[in-house]
Amino acid sequence: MALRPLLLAASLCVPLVTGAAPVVIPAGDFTSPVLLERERRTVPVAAFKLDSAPVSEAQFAGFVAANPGWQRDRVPAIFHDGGYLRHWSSPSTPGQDEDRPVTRVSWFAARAYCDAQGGQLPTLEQWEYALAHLRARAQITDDAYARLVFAWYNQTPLVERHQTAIDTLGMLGQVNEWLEDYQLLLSNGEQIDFGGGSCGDTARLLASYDAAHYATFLRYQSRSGYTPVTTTSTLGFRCAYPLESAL
Amino acid sequence: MMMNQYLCAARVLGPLAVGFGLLAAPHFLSAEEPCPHHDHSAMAAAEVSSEDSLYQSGILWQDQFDRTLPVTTLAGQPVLVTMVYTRCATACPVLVEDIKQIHSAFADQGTDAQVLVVSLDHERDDAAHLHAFAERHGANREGWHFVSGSAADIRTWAALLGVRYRRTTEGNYDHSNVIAVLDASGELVFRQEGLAQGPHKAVEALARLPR
Repeated sequence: MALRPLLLAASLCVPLVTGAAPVVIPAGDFTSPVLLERERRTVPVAAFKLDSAPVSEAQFAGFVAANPGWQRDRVPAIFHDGGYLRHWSSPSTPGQDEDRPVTRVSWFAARAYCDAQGGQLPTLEQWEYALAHLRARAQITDDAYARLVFAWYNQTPLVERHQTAIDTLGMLGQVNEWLEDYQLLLSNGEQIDFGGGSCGDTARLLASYDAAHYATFLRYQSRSGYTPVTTTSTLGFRCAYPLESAL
Repeated sequence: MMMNQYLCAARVLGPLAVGFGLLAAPHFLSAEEPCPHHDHSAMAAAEVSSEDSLYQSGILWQDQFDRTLPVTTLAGQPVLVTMVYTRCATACPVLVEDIKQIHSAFADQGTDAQVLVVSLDHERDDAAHLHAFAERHGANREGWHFVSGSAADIRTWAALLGVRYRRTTEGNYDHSNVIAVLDASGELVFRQEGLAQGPHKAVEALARLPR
């Protein structure tokens, strides 16, 4: 997969980072920023490879061409909500900008794509660990990070998005991304609930009361609200691969 | 044909089964390859009549007798479905007892439903553990399938049923307690969350199915 040039979209000052080869995310410890269990846990994460950008429209078109069962006019209804690739000009032709991250793909479709590449969707732990790793490496402050996350949610253009998008491989500022286990299931001893979106849950789940943690929690929570058949214009994905894969 | 397909897929899946199940045909397999693509939509669509059928998943389960059970072979009669893990001491035994109650209520209505209990724990729940679990519930009977599969296939099935789960740091599984009824074509026609709710609502759903 050739490294594509970074393009600057004039409208929002967001560089498009798509279509690039996987990079190695080194092993390390991950401390969950959200209290999914009663205690805050730090777990070791093994090294893995991660696409260095969200999957592009052009890449997804290649997948659909090789797997016609995933054309929008052929995919079974149970795998999407009706909006799958609705913006494409034909069942096999992407919309206007083929370098943009592909959107309007259901979780089922995203998984099938990654499987065809010899990978899978990143787990929640892998994705959030990778972002934490990249943030630390690029020395993005908590405040700058929080501003970027909130800016994406309220669609505010920020000049600093440009460099941060590059530093974080497009994980911030482009699309929300599907993960293998994106749906939260929260437990507190014997009590289990789904953290589906009740505002009352928020305080209980934050590991720390600052803007960066709140921003992260917003991402966990909004991502968890999707159903596996959801297709929206703000939701894309990238793939992860075992470290030993040849990519 | 069916036999060839799943034997072949099982051979391909073998070394890759954990975590990287074949959700779509690997793009490097040519059309001439003797092994047919295990493509979720394209291949399954030819066999499964309904677009809304959970059997579109084309999953190949391994049952408590270590046999491969293509999920598509469950088509033809209603199926009672739940997800558990055999080391689970609290909710899971209750879920199986709930299923037994519903199964027996269905039998009273003249319907012989199949039962599919899918494990969430692909690492531990091999055929021996599944068999022992079924035995504890007196459920090693004809038409009662206690199965496991690849991590990816278990995740797919849970998504189709709306079951949320997470492996805890201790190696247990937190999970939603769901019992579902699939009709003869594999469409989800009833779903309940919670334990010990009695068979009444499931029986009502059964009554609404065309005979």
